[in-house]
Amino acid sequence: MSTDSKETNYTPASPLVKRLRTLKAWLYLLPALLFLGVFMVYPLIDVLIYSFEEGYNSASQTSFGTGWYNYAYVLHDPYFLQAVKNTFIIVIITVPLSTLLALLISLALNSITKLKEVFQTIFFLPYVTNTLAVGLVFMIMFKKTPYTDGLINMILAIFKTGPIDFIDGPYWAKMFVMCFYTIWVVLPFKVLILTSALASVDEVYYKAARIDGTSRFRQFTHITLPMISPMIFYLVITGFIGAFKAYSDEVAIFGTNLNSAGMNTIVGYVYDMLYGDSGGYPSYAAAAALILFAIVFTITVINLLISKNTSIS
Amino acid sequence: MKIRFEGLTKRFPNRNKKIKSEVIAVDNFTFEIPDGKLVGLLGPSGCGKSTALNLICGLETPTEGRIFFDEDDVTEIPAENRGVGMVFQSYALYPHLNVKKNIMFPLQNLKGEQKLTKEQMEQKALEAAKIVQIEELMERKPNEMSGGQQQRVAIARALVKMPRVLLLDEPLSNLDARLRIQTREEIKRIQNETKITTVFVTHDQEEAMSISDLIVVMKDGAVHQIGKPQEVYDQPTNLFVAKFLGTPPINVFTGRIADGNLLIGDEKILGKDYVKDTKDQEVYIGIRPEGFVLREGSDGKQEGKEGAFTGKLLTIEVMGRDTSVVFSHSASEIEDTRHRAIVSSENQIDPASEKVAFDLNPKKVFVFSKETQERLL
Ligand SMILES: Nc1ncnc2c1ncn2[C@@H]1O[C@H](COP(=O)(O)OP(=O)(O)O)[C@@H](O)[C@H]1O
Ligand SMILES: [Mg+2]
Repeated sequence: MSTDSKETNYTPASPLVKRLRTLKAWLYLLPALLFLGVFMVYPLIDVLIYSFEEGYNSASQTSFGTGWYNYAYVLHDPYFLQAVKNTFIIVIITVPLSTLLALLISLALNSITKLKEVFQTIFFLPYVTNTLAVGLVFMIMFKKTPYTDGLINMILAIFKTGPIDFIDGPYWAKMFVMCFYTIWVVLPFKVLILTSALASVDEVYYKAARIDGTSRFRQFTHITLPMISPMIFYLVITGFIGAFKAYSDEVAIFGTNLNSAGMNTIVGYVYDMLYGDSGGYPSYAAAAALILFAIVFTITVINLLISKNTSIS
Repeated sequence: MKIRFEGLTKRFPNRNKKIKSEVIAVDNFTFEIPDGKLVGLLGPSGCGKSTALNLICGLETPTEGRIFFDEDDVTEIPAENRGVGMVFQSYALYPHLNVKKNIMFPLQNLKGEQKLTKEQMEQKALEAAKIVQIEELMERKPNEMSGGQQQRVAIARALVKMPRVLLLDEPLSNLDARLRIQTREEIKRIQNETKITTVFVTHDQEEAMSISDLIVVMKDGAVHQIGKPQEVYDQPTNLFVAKFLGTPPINVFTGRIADGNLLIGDEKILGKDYVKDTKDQEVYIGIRPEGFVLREGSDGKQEGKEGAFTGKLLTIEVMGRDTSVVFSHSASEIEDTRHRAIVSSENQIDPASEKVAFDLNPKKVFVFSKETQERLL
């Protein structure tokens, strides 16, 4: 008897036992799967269906038919095209610029010895501040009112330019404020990630490099950059995704009527189509959302391919 | 090229900021490392060996004193212009570069007239790789190699510029036992072939003894003794050096010199011939394991006789050629030490006997002042 029970420990499990084990594993996964299914997979499929249903009415739950009509409409809507343009400009300007700035700041932070923690805290503070509050401050700094030209215009006046209305003025001025603000908001997190990445590079590589007469510049390009490149790619990828999904930052500065300000983004357009003054069109919103999904997906795949190739060479 | 130190001192502020006093990592080095020799810098962990190496290569600047390479004062010369090659304990190979690129890295830093073409660099990298016998591994990444292979790459990288001095910081400590012995022979061979003045740091006395032309024994930042390995072993200048060198370690007892005799407890260990006219005092007595000679019929019957040394027999370990006699003694410097005597296996000892008696080889007995721990005899 006792030898029997011992043996079962060593012989491979019978098919039945195996099946039971697999069942148990699925049972453990069930809560998470249910949650994901109800709140992610189902809505995603729903959105997909909406986007192909012509004239869907959420009150009566009816539609005229199916097809590419919603996509065609959205792609010909000047507001959507404006939103796509705005989003791309913000992404292309803010992602590289904020990453580069964060890298420079992190390098500076890493090279100082005194009061390092103090400076690190200062640079991280904007991250814990509410973005709407930051937006308010930006608006006050940039806005031109009948009573005052705002802080920035006062500074511009010293250089004998301006005043420029950054909030209600020309497109480029508004876009400048928008990019400035976006960079400001995303910077602290990137600085935090990069300072710790820099600190994690073993000091001994720099010692070896110094003995071999490696210039500071070459140390940076041939040792530091390759060693922190995984973190940089991480920041670029998440930066792209985040910037493509931007919306609240725009609201913080230009208010909720982004279409009339000409500063709408793709997510803003989706929101407007659902709940805005011109809202009540879930099919258009769904189509726009899926177009955004396609864009983000493509860019992320490209990013991942590039990062894989560079880390191998 | 020879290296000369004059009053070289390095003090660090204490790492624990609450302690005001400074740490003296290197204390007043004044000696010379001869040209073309393999020198082992030996001492316990934290005694300042790495700091000494960093001072030689220029990664640290001395608090006081000067360093000369031949007749050139290099104290103020930055690391990259000293012409040294260094191998770090962790090898410090650039993980994103393959072996060839790692070895070529120092060459790519050359500027102006020294600048090399790509072909010349590859040629030199191959030559360096051949010295350490890794020419087949040129395309591998560091993480695709064993510890011993990485070590060789690190040496090749340090050699590729044909440095005037080669420095190795604990080069063997990351290798397993078998590889350690193999690699230390390798280091010896490379040094012999290149004739580059080489300083290597270790806390393992066996390692230092086995391959060094000269060893420098350090403790707490200070040099305690410099000499050929055998000389230092045979003539230690103080108790620390005597204890630090040798496996199994030297056996230390408390004793005294009285009336021209050397005594442990009541036993007269050695007589007038040995003690000469050293004045009476309390001493430490160090006896190398091979300094014990078993007495005929050494079952303790002749206890108390002049020249006898009697211990309490614990066990006997037969190891082929030699036999290890393990015993204890009431006068051990550190209580309950298991002392070891190495005797020829031809001796027959009854493991059941309680006591064991030895004669001593005076050449293997060292006497140190109890006060200063300096060698008296
Ligand atoms: N950069 C430093 N700052 C403060 N103390 C240091 C520094 N480097 C070494 N020390 C101290 O100097 C002593 C010698 O260190 P080290 O040369 O690394 O010893 P070893 O290499 O012999 O183990 C140690 O007490 C160590 O704590
Ligand atoms: Mg060390």
